Amino acid sequence: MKRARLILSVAMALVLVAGAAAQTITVGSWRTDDVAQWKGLIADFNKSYPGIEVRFDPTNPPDYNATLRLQLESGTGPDVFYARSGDVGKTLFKDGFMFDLSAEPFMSKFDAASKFFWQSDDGRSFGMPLFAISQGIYYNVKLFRDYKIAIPQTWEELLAAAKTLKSKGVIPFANGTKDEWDINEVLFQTLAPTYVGGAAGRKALESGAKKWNDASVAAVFSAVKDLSPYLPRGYAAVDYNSSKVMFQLGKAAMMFDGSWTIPEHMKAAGLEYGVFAAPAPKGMKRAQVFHADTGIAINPKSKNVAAAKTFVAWLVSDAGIASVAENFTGFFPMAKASKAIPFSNPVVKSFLAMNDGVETDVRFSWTRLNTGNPSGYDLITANTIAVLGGKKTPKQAADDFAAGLAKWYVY
Amino acid sequence: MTQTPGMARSGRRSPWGVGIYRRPSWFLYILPALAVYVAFMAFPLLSSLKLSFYSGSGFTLDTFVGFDNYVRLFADADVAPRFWGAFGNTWVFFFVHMLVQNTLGLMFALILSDKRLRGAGFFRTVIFIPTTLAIVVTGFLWKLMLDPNFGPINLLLDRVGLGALALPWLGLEETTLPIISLVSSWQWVGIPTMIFTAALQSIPEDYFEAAQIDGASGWQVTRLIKLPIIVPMMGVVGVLTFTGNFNAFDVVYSMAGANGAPNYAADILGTYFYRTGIAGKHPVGIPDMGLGAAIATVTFVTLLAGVMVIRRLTMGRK
Repeated sequence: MKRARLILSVAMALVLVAGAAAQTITVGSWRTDDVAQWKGLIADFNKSYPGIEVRFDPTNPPDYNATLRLQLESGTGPDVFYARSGDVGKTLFKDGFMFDLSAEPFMSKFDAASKFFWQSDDGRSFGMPLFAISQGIYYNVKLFRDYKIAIPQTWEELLAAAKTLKSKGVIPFANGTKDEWDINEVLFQTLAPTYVGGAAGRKALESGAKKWNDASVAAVFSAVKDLSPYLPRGYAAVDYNSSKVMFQLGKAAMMFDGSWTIPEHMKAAGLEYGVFAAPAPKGMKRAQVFHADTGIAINPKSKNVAAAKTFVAWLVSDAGIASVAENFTGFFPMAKASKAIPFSNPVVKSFLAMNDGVETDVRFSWTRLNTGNPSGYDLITANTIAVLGGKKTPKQAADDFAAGLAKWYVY
Repeated sequence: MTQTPGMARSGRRSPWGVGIYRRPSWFLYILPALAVYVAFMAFPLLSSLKLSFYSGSGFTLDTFVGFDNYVRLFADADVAPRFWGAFGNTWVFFFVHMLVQNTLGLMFALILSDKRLRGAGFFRTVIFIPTTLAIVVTGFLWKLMLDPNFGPINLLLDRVGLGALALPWLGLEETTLPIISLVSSWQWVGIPTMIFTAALQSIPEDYFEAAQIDGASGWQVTRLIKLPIIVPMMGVVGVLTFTGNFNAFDVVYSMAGANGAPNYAADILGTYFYRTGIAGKHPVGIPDMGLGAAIATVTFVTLLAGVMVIRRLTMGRK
């Protein structure tokens, strides 16, 4: 017994020594939910590169940006870390906390549109695009079958389906407003691209060609208002987790949500579910959110820049892309080559099919509106909730949105 | 502030002239405590005070801006409403605790200290149990209880025909803060109960016997003997409640999130400080530490003033 323990401890010491001898890189992330996924990814990576140990070290999501900034400023930052797209990433790059990746060979695996969201204003890349996410409407297949509801092709059909479900005593949409972020990010921002006219419409607003209280913006709020009779009773006190539970238990027939929820729904026993795109009103062209969500950046102060680069480059090698696609259900790799991946999960396939033949864009407020005071993000949240509660008309909401932005937005 | 009233009265004669103070070695005795106090209390307090006069990008505050952070806090059209909202909400939070938690605590203590009560130990345990639970747990439990669709509270209201009263309690601007304050009062009622019970039990039996001989009624005994004797304890409970509430954060965070949703209705100084000085606002999440330090300083000054007032009101009496 004693001898066994001795052998064990010697073996452990050897493992430790071996571990210290190998290169170690840490990966900072805001996805505490993805520990298992990263374990799979790292195992695949180590098949090709056994000498590099990768440690996934995520932070509580709401604290990520602040914690990362603090770590980077004090010189204790991770070697490789998740990079926010748009404004937040740009600021970190400007302050010298991200490696300039523009000249790296692995960046050639992306098209210009994908790279754009992790580029500074002068076109230098600070992050390699890792994942995109998609958003749509989840639906309960069994409830749709029971009440003979076809998948809605227009906004009018969607409202008619909701009306039918409500008359049968089923909650049409599970979404609520208690957590605030979800009504903004998974409801408003799912609808926005269609009504403002995709990326072109967004850019027209951002450049000042159209006013922020344009009819197209009011139309998004108006669509939000259409849904208010079909939310759960007391939706103001329903938070994101309760919404998901309501949907998983079959109490609610539909839910606006993002592709990142697929793994959770897969675990829900007995749930038969699918997903469809938020439809456009009759005669209007649909546009789809396909949001450039996660980039990966390298810490210039890292002691293992070479190993970090090796790891990042592997992520977009054929083996890496396959591993990302396999391990991260609901997140879509962004390299050009990933278009050929044969996804097997039917819901993942449905999400990707939403992009076919329509224009895609990132979330409406993500490019220019999330900073500033009051931020466009906060204005969208507050006005969406006000419209749902009947405290503002869609027109008033759009006017308030424009008035708030007028305080700081520079064209 | 740390002087007791007794010392203040004898303060006319210099304390340096008596006993141990004549020898310089007295200083050695307080040195360890002083060192700990300076390192962990005074220094952070002062450096936070200093931070409130600075501004900068991220966590590096290097630009001296004078009172700019305070001006923004009190007067800026976009910042001030949040601050005053949180400030006002904290007072509401405090008054609910004084009214519900401490009044109930006093009543429980009066009942529990009555010698005729059987099973006092059992009731005392029951009242004290919530205090031992983590706020995250109680916050989550009450969120489930108050769920608009499946929570037992609304189901019960539906069952007895009061469905119209089955409100989304944590979703309405009018009800969220009072409900959270009540949950917090429910959780902490054990503390004042315990303090008051201890105070009541320490009253010498002779007083009650004398009162009995004089023919005093139960209410007279309570009003003229018990309550006046525990007034200093009411001061202690008041100070504890005041400091606890003005530093509160977790119960609101667990039941209404960092924003005190909906529409900042439950936002208190603790959550406002967290959002401004520590986490930053979603989705950008970069804090404004100078402004955060200004909030912390204002909270500190409010606490100092409040504690002094409460002590003056309750400790001055003999």
